[in-house]
Amino acid sequence: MTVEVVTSRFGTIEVPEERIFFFPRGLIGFERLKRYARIDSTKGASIQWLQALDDPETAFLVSAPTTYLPSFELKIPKSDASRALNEGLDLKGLETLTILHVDRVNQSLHVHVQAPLLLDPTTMKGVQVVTDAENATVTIPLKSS
Amino acid sequence: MLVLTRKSGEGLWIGDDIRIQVLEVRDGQVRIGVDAPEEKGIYRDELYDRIRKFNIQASRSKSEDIDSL
Repeated sequence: MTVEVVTSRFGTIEVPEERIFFFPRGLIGFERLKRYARIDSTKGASIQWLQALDDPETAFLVSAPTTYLPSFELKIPKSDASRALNEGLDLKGLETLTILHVDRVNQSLHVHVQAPLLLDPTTMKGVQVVTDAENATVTIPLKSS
Repeated sequence: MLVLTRKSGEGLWIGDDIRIQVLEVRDGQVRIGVDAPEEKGIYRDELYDRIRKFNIQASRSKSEDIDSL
């Protein structure tokens, strides 16, 4: 089964149902957008788009934190862990993704380590948690293309 | 917004599971205590705002942004 997703970046696309995640609380600042499709980017599966199903304009670039930060360690505060559990996520098999933002003016990549996304591939639910990370983002210089 | 006046040591309840207490008022600063269920995230505004702003900025990523990664 596929779901038709209307996007401003890629036109109307068909996404397999098993790539649609439900965020019961949405993302911070995007509380109303709860359904997201995971779409591989032109760089393959290591960088993906999380495209909101209910707003064609809203899509986040995401990657595993270790793609850019090999020593990344996830520290979820107790409150977020128990909230994730309340929302039906299984804390054991969770996948972590970090939101990326490319600053093309300064040729740098910001990796948002303070508020990663946890995805549960079993229940297809997700949550954005706030960690105790010292800095909100880690900035990595980009090679000029 | 509901506005209430409280003195040091006084508090208020939100529903039956969240209690906010004013612990101390001194030199323009207020110390606040919050008793809430564990799953309630409690954040300072500035932290929450920072995350929200980052999310909003990131949500506008362009397809071309990926070329430089």
